[in-house]
Amino acid sequence: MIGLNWYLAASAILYSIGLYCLATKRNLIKMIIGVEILLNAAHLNFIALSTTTAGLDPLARTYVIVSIGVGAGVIALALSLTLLVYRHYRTLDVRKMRRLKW
Amino acid sequence: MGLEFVVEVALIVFLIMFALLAVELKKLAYAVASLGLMSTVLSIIFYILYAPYVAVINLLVYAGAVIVLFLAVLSLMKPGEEEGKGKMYDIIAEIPGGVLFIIIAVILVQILTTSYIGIQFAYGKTLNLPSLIPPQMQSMLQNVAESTWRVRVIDVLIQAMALFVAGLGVAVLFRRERREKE
Repeated sequence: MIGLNWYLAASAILYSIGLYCLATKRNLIKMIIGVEILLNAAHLNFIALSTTTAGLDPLARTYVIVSIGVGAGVIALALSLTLLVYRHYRTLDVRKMRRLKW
Repeated sequence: MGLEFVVEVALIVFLIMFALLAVELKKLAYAVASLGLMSTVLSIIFYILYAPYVAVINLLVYAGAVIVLFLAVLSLMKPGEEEGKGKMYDIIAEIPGGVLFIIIAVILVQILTTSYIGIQFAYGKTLNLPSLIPPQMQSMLQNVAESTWRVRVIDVLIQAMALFVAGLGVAVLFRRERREKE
């Protein structure tokens, strides 16, 4: 296994990509993809830090398993809301969604 | 510098490359496909890091169910309204019921399979699944199973319920869309 630093660096880069996506993209689907990349970065960080030569930390893995389930629920909800927003505004561009009143 | 080092570094490079493609590709279907590939590579990395349960669940949920959900949502949007729409979505739009069935089936199979494997493993029964894992790691993996299925079993059940409710909620939204079409 390669060193922990490689995985931590990969996790940091993934997190930066997710933040960049959330900050710059205006498409709702792209923003949800950014959220999923952020989640994956956090999971990689947890798993990498819980794997040492001394042993494995079982609680961190359990936490990641639970987080995967909750994250999938969040993404499903976000996609459902995206569908509703699209039906109302006929666009996925967040700049064109100026009215909050339905 | 052995083969193992090269493979792991290549996996990390692929992971970052697919993440960048998922963000930067203009066509949404390609971006979603790239996201699925990223999740698959991440699952392989989890397996290398001795986390087979996390790898399997990540593969089933993020590289499976969530990607199908993304494609189903894209299929319900009219072509030309947003960037990257093509005719390929029309094929999926014809079978929303089938897509829903696949989503719910994947979630149920995931819950049942992980429950079965986890409970068997946690209560010390023999399993042929982790034979690929080094023997010294097997007792540690048993700790993970015990932690998941004995200590944090409420969390895992809540997770299963959350996934199921999310699937049902999406099903209700899609059904309303079909009724509006009729």
